[in-house]
Amino acid sequence: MKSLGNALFRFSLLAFPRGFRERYGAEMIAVFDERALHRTAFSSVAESLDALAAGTRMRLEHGQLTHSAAVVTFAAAMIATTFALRDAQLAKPASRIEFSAHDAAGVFTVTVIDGRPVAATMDNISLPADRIVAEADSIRLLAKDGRTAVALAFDARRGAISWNSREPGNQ
Amino acid sequence: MPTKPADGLTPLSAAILFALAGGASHGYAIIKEIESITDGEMSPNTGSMYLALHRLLDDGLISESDGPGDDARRRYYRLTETGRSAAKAEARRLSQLLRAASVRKLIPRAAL
Repeated sequence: MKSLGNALFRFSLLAFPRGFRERYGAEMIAVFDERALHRTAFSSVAESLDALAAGTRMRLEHGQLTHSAAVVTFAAAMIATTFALRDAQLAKPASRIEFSAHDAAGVFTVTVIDGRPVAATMDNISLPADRIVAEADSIRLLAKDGRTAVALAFDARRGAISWNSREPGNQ
Repeated sequence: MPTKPADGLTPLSAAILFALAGGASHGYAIIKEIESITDGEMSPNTGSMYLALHRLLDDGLISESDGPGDDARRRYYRLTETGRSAAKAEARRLSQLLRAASVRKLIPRAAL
């Protein structure tokens, strides 16, 4: 299903004007592929529908919505909608976990949506995205100097979360 | 299509400008930064974000450049001076709205 989502997204890019596609298509696919690592098949289809809509809007804004583009867009939208409706019955709502704990160095929090850490704080200060590192079954929060300040590990079998304790001042 | 309607930037355009206020970034990192600064409330899809980036480029609010070379497909986007001014103006506008919402007890004062 994931490969279908990937194919659908690439097809959806046809909705964008040719010049834009030639310049940004590879970059958009790279972004899509990176996001796909943490995504369900359903959200891949949703991404494809969004790309169709965005590409069509761009063509409209540039007065480039030709007959062939409209046909491609309509066909792709029908295919994507069919799969989206089929998968909607299987799709789970987005799961959101707010994890908060404290150790010797203070309070830290992590917000996880659909298994992906999207935000974190240490001592009530939001961390920028590049200091939140997600790995297969763990999340690392980095200190300003790039060292790991907190490492959270998931034990999916037991449903348990464990973490190492920071020394005071290690942020 | 303008990125600057009479009542301010679109939410996604504003979020992109705020994300880039910290420095130049590439597409995936911009999405991650938006997720981070909005506490996961906003997670733009790839197509919508590139449409917004295209409008911001057209309006001269951001500029693009090739990346440092780790991935040839990646372009880096940065705020222009006009873009930084627009981001500041948008931040002021949102701040005024938040103050008005707080006075009317729509949000707790601590949220400001």
